Amino acid sequence: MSEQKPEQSTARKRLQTAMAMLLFTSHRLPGVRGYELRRRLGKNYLKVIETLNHRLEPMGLRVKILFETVVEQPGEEDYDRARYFITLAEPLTLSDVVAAGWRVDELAVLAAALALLFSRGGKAPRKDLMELLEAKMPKWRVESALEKFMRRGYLVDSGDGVLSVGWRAVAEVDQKQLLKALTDLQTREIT
Amino acid sequence: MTSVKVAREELERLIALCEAVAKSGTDPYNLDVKSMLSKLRSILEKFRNAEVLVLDAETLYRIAVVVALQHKWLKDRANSLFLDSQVIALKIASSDKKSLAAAFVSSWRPILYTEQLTIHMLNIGLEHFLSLPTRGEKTAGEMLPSEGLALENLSKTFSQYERLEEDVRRIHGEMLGARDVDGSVDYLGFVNAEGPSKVVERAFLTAFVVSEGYADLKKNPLTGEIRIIPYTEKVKRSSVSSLVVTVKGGELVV
Repeated sequence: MSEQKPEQSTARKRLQTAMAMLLFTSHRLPGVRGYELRRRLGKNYLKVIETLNHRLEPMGLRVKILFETVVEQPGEEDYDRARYFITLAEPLTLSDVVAAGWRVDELAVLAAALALLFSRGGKAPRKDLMELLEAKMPKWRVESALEKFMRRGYLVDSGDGVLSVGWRAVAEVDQKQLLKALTDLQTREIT
Repeated sequence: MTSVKVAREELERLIALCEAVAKSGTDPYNLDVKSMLSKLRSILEKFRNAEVLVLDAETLYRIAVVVALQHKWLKDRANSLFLDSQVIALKIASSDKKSLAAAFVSSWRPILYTEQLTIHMLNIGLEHFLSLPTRGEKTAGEMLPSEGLALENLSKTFSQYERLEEDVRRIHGEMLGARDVDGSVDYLGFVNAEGPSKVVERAFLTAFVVSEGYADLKKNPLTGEIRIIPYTEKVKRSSVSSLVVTVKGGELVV
């Protein structure tokens, strides 16, 4: 095997550092901010992330960039303040998710909660959701599932009985795809 | 003066309306911004009172927030494919749990990360530890043999156990001797027999006798009276339940 050139070795080392930073949680939340990547990888950190993304693609993974606010043309500052994660590139199947330890009724609660919140601009009274779900499953189960998803960052209870979409749902769930899947599901059932 | 008060109330009502929309996440287009602004203009033209002016500025700010929310609302509606929330609610209600879960999974790309102990977690642990109440130092009498008692102390511990057994036997004997005609003893009277200073000790020993099966406790649910039923022989019970008796300031609180 030929010996690596110093620049190749540096690039490889940067990729390893980026991967470690993205995978290991060093804060309360997973992922890292752009300015942290800049500090460790240098000003060309976006190129390192792009290269990492190419390397991850064949493994079904990708680097997801979550901007603080919705921006059409993100600038350097937006990238610095954004949060970077590694996520799956393609969704799993229901059986895979169940095999990983998730309960179908909990996923149903999360699906209903997020779909309702997305359709109402990101916020909805908790009692509206409870009324909707209590017809499907016991109140205690809905309550416990909501609490669990609040702890995990998918939902946020602002304390005045209003639920909103959490940071994790924004990072992991494709809003349009969820609503489309819900609509398609109904269309199939009606026809 | 009254008209100033009316204007102030009107402005406060407008602020409350804007606040309610911002907090609840309801459709911001439900508010008629144009009529609110014209009301605001008429109030501003009529009153130049400092208090009204401050409220006026606050109302204008709240209306600006509602306009920003209207902008966001339109964007969100576009993102949600202009589906009405009622339609979504209806679809949720008519779908089974498995279909809902499948719809979610098809749009879900979970984050990959590894969890490990972080400085933040250590800080939380330290804060929790420091917030715990301080416990008194354990005395030698409280320590169990497994907690590292020296060999020379073991004989003392055994003699303590022997004394306890003797006390339990003595209390059992007293119980048998104090039986009424119906074969029972009043609990309160029995534990109070040697005065308030011995209440805890006698209650503790009585609990031992009852736990060992040499007596039973019966509580009258109407009067709250507790009676001890002592047995000469150990009785085997099919079901056991516990009874809490509180001692406060040398007196019993049942």
